[in-house]
Amino acid sequence: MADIVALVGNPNVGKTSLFNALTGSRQYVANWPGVTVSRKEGIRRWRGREIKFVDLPGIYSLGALSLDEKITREYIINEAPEVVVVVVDALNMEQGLYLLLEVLEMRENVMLVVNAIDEARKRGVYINKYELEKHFGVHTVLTSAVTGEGVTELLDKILHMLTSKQVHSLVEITYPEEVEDKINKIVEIIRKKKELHSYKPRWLAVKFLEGDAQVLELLKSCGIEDEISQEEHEKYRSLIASRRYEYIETVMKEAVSSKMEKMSFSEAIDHVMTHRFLGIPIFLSFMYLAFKFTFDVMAPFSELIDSGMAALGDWLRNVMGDGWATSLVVDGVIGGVGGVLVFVPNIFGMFLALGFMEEFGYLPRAAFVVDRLMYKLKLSGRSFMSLILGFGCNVPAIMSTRGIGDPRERLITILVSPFITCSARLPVYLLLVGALFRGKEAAMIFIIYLSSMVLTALSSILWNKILFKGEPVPLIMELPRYRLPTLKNLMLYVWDRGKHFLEKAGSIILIASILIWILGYFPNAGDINTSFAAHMGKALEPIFRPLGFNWKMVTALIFGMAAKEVVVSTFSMLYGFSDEAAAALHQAIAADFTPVTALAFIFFVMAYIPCFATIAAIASESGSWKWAWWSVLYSLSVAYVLALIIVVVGGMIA
Amino acid sequence: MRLSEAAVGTRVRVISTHFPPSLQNRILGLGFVPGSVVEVVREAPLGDPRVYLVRGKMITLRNDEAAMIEVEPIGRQLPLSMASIGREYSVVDFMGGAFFMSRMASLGIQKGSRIRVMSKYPLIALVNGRQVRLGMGMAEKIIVEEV
Repeated sequence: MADIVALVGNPNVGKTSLFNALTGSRQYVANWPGVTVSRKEGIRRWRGREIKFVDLPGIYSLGALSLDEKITREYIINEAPEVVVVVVDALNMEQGLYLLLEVLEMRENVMLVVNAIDEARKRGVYINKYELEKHFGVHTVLTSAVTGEGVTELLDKILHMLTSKQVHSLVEITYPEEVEDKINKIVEIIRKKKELHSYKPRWLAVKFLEGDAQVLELLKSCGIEDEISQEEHEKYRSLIASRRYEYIETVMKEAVSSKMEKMSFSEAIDHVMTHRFLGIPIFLSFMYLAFKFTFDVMAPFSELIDSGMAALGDWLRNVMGDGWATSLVVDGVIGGVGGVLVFVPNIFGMFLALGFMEEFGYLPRAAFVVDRLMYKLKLSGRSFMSLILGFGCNVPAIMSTRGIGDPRERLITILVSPFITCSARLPVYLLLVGALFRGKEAAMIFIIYLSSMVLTALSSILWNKILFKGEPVPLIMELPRYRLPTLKNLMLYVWDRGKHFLEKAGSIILIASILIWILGYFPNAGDINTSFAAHMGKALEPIFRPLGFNWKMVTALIFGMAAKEVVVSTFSMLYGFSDEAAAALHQAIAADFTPVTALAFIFFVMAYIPCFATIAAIASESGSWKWAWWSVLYSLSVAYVLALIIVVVGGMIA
Repeated sequence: MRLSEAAVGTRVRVISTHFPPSLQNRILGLGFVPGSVVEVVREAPLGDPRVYLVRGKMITLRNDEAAMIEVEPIGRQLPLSMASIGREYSVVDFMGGAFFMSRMASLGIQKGSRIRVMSKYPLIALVNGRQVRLGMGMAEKIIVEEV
């Protein structure tokens, strides 16, 4: 079995780049069990030995209450990796060294990596690694994940730690006397408890004083009661943290010499990017470019796939002749798989645009600039980006939530983004608005889009109330310095996230499309008016009668679950017109709908069940089908209630 | 005083932090510990959140969050807009970009310049013995210290 080496560090220290440099392309991403935080692992064979690297979430401390911190801490305790490597940024090491001190309190066999050493050198910062080794008692390697400097040395040092039997890292810092006295007393008690022998007593004692919820509970289960008041816990917490930083300051004076200028390149860019007047226009232009890139630049590729699929279908139809098997393969499978593949260029394009902004350092600035707008919705600026992408397609929008740090915010963004009107819903609106609101098209479409945004905003507040008692998501976020993304990291970023879609959404959509095909084809060999789906539409009609929908509309809605634009083609088939005969279709629809039913139908389409691809994305990104089902149930009830209100109010007015 | 009340461009020292337990560890880990020096770097276009420089890292906090950090001013740095009439100040820093800096240079205001505020609305200041009229927006970007 491979030895496990865990990478720990603050966000934005280049930990993931270092992980990429250490593992190459032999890496895979999975979610931590039951949560939305992704977990990266990779294997490197080095001098005949297999080393498994685990990239832990970026954190600033090892508390037990925030999800990222908890995951990291539990991993270090329960999985007991052979070596823990703490990665710090050469240009601001202090917060990273704080984390190092916390890890050192927990366990042995810890290493320190000072990354981005090339940047530091360029800026006139000199770091003496021997001083760091002396004061922290750990092996220290200076690396640059960009140039590859120090990576070989790091692997050798890790190998050395894995093979030598001696126990490393023995420096511990002394807290003020009143804290030390308490620590010693608690350590005495802890030492007597056999069940606590797997932990370092001093670590437990420090965490006990800090009032760490998890440790308090653990000790309580062993009969050690917490007799310290909340205020005193708070006092100890501050004393301990201050002392750690004091120690770090003294070490920094010995180990680092700097001729760094204060006003740097980053600050100059920031002055413009987050400018009082320019900030928001710049944000909007970045969003526009990302949108353009995701949907317009990628459109020819989508079309290519689309026409390729169509050509393949025609060819198969010629070869296989007519029959249910041909229809299954051509309409079901190729139609289904093609439906998925058409999204692929958009998704990779979106991740390329997003990846560039994230690696460059703009994304957190964007969140900073628009945060105020989202605060009211109990979200932060970061989710704004994802929601905007939803206007193109909800699937990339949901997938882009991967970059949202706060798990609560991420879940809510995933749950509300289906309400953003995606481009597939537009043809349905256009058909009905064109048929029944002639001359008022623009105003109607505007109202529909506005309503979809209001619905998204209200849902976000509601879900926050239900799930998190209305607590806003905090915006405690680091603005990292700007850097040019490397091609390799960008490609890994896009591939990591994109391939997930191919695997998961692909298989689910395939099954769903075949199901829909069966409903539409049988029992009368493709006659849609007597198909199972039509029967279902007729059977479900009574439920929709209060909304004024007839069985054709219900049937169209059933097919619309596959993809919302399918509602339009279903109408053409049900009313017996080809796709081209738009005017005739308009007339037929105008005869069947009243303006009120049409509006109710439009709002129903706007809100009801996310399409299969979106449902699959919700399930895979939220980490559980539970949320996907909740989303379906919620959107269906919202759609029904909305449509009902329109029918009732409309009936009173008319 | 709370960190949310410190003016942009000024530096303050942390006295204590009062976050809910779920955030307290992260705040301490970020370096907002008693004794740390924090600089208010800039504010978002809508005034909230703001960016703070703490131990070499730029950290964003909403004003509601910054209000949970108790701080004290260091020295007597403040923006010129908050200066008292009749007192003498020395210029410590500027918060503007290149355009602002050239405007300052043309007015003869640079780091170390002596400024005495004559009146507030409009803000008229005596710079190196010369009377200069400044807009409030400009005065907010000039950080001064009482002499």
